[in-house]
Amino acid sequence: MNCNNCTNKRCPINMYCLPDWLAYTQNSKSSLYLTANYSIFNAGELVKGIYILCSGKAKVMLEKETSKVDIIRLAGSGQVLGHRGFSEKMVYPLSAKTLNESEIASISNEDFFKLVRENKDLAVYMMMFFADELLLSEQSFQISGMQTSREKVAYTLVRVINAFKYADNTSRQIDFGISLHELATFAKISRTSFSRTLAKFIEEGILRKRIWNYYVADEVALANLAGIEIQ
Amino acid sequence: MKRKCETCTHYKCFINKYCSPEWKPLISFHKTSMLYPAGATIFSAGDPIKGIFQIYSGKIKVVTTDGEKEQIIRLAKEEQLLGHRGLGKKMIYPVTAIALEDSEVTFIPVDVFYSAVKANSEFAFQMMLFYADELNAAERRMKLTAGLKAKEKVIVALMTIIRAFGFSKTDNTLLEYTPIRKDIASIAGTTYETMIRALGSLEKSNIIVQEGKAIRVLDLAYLEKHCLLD
Repeated sequence: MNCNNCTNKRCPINMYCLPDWLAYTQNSKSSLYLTANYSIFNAGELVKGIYILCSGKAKVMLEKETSKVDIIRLAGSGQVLGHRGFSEKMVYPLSAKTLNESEIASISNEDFFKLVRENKDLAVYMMMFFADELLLSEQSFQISGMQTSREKVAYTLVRVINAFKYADNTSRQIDFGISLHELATFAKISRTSFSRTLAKFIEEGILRKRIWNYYVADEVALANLAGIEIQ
Repeated sequence: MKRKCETCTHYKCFINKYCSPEWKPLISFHKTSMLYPAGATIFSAGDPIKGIFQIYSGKIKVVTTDGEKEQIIRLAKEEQLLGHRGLGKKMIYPVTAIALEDSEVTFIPVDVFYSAVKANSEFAFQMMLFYADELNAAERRMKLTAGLKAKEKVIVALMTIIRAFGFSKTDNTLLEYTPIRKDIASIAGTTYETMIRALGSLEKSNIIVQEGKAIRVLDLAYLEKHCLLD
């Protein structure tokens, strides 16, 4: 993907950097072409920079001592990865892996900081992005402790939609991108409960199912159950 | 009382540190100052965002509530920001801020704050890093507190208090500010009774001494070593 003529409207570099700085990014970034299930960075590694998913899908995970993995976030085309590492320690607290074939732009710390300092709109966007991530992170915590399976599944579906967008906007076909098992891990419930809740949503007219695909029939009801908006 | 940014001596304040001299009088013009007695609410979860608060003097707790249960997620003192968790797409304060003692808090309207961020690139950059640190701290707290034992949670609470307010200037082992025991339990995320037992156990091991409402730390190295949040 060439930053000078990129059409990705979700990429903050494309949306908020001045043309001269897009050319700078194009020259300074490294493009990584990764296969599915490829590690982008691992928890504990030093932060070398920030990653932008030019195309593809990724998951961000917390690997626990019990060898259990919690999926913390899903990211789709144009979204930022690795920003959680920016702190005093400059160490990634989480790991990220591709979910399918992906093109990822890697921007070094030095270049990213330069971009933020020189492009005020990018600086404001990044500040607001972190503010949203903070809110989302605290909401996720509350959800894991408090909610019913219905709310957890609705929350997971909205997070999937917000990360990957719909596969088809008109029919509102959900682009799952990850397996049912991983969706259940994200929701912190069993796979059986997840499937059962999906079936219940179909019965209630919140979702529709055609062959193997799921469609959102009632966005308002889904967002209300999830407690977050569909963006 | 009107507080002026251009003559302010709070050198850790982000506005003082990172805004250009031209912007400081403009911020001063728009900002207001309010006195909050101990226990007063500065803003409540669910309120729409009107601006950002800066603590001029005093001590504040930031809490989330789940029904009747209150969890303290942050302690803040002079020169620190409040209300920043509400900035974002929703523009609603997700938490409540309450004065722990009589405090003076200044308020900057949200449009003035945004203009200052846009016009001062270093301010915007530092705000981004500030949020990144807050995100990290929040996730570390969530990740660890769930699996900690009661005593470990109370040690984390004591270290949170020490890092927020430090020690008395005249007595370097006495906490500068000891929250009431109920608030220590809210920081630790334990019941009142469990927290009292854990404090008793730390006292028995000569790590701390409870002097009435105040707490004296005898072995800071032990608390630092056993604070699993780091």
